[in-house]
Amino acid sequence: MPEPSRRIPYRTWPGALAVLLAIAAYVGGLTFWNNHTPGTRPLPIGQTVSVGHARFEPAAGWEMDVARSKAGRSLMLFKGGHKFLVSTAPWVGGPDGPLVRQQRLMERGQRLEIDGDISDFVTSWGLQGKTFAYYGSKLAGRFWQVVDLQRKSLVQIDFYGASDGLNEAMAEARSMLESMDLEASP
Amino acid sequence: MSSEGTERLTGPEQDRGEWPVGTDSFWQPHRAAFWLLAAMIVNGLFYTVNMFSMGFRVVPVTALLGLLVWGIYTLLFLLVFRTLDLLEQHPPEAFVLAFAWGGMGAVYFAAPANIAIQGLCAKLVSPDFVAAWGPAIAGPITEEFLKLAGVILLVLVARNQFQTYLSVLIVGAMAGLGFQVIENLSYTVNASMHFPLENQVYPVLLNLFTRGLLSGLWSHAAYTTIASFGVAWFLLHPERSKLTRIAVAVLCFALAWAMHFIWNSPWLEDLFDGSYREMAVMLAVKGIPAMIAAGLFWRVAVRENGAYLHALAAYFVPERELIRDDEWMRLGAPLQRYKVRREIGWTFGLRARRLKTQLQREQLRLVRKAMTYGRGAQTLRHEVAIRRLRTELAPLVQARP
Repeated sequence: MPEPSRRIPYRTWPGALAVLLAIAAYVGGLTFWNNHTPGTRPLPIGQTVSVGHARFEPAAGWEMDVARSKAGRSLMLFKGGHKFLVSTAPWVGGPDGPLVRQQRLMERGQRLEIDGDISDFVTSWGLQGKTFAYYGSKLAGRFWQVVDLQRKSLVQIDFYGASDGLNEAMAEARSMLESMDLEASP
Repeated sequence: MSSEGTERLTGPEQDRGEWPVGTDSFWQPHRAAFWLLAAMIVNGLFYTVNMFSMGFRVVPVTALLGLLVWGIYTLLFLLVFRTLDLLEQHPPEAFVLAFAWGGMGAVYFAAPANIAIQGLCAKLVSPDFVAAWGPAIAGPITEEFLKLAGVILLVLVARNQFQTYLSVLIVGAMAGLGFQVIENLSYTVNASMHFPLENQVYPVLLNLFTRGLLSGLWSHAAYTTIASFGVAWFLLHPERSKLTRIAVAVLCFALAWAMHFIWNSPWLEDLFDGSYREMAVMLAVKGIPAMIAAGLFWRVAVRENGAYLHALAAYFVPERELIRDDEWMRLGAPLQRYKVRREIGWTFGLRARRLKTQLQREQLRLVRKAMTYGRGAQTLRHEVAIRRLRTELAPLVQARP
């Protein structure tokens, strides 16, 4: 015979605590493990590294951040508090690619200030594109973008870091950019 | 009514007759599970709002259009659930909490856990490995676990609301839907922020097509349905040993994980080229097994719910003017009820269909409320409504042969 349901009291704190501990242990444990696992990879001096079509020679002392590099799409190098991120993607239109959106992302999304105007650049290997500098409350940097219409390829290079030692790091970033070409096979 | 720390916490072995008749609401400020659920949802809400505020600043058209599109997408799912009378299983706050848990609570914790797993894979194996297998390794275990945690918390909040498999499955599906929608919205906005063109509408359409249309039916809602079946089985089979109940729950979780893993994995990708047509075929090949599995669990749950409703109706509502024999037969068959409504609509018009729909829902509410409180003042409203609807419907369906 079916009976109407009854509102029988019961405790929920043991179950709730178990759920909370399980989530905390899972998320906290993984984050702790990840944070305490070294993610750097030294790069051989004098040899080129490549990501997509882009190929360049890392400056001495720069290491690869393995966790923040995506195979075939981006390569993050760092030295001290300075980062050098090379990203590649297919170019799908617009003479300047997504440069305006990149500026908007920095200005409105990351609260950075664009320093001066966008200017053209050409490297000794003939790589040419657009560049601009930017700064924020805790960092400053420079962004370069190359559109290769022939290969339908877009390469973005973002160098940024703390103001301390920025000039030296910037010189090394420029040397890496100078060594760059788009001859790699993706 | 019930509170933590009360002296009367003796559990179900206590003489049931001592406790008041009824079911607990989902508003339970005296229960720890309620506050944990609420706190995690609010925490996730702040995170989500903060995340989308950046999207609104950078790609406002995408953010607004994305909200609209994924909002409509959610409503379509809700419409299907409503058409199948699944929303009759619980009061609305249960679905709001389940959706909010999926979209806010679970998403908040999923992000750092997924990043950590992918980071570990990159460091311990290689970035190439992460590019191929990272989503399959990180997503399923993290997301299925977190979505299911919300289902468990909801069951803890109002345990006696969950009397059938179906009552647990629909909450699981809603938590999965919440996760799916917020994740899709987040992907849409992120894609737009890094889209290679200035156009802000394409990313929305692209994500709607790939994540909504090609992947929507066999995504998070389906996986969480499968995993929730294990929770339902654990809850509703106290006569079985704890080991068996845990084994069934783990098995269902493992099945949900496996479906999700296959979906996120790069398997079969080499067999298809990059065209949208080929991609659609590949997604269907990978997704249809999950949909079939979820469909089978729904089928088992609907049948069990049907048997449950039949038994309740036979005992609590014997009057044939309230539930006729043919209506009694269809009580546990939502598709048949829908078919009858549709046929009435075609034959006798929209008003007749609407009245029949209301009649069917009032009958369900009558049976469920009678089961909760017994027949009496609590069910009178539904009895009156059924008689009124039948009176209004009768001339419409007799007007034409």
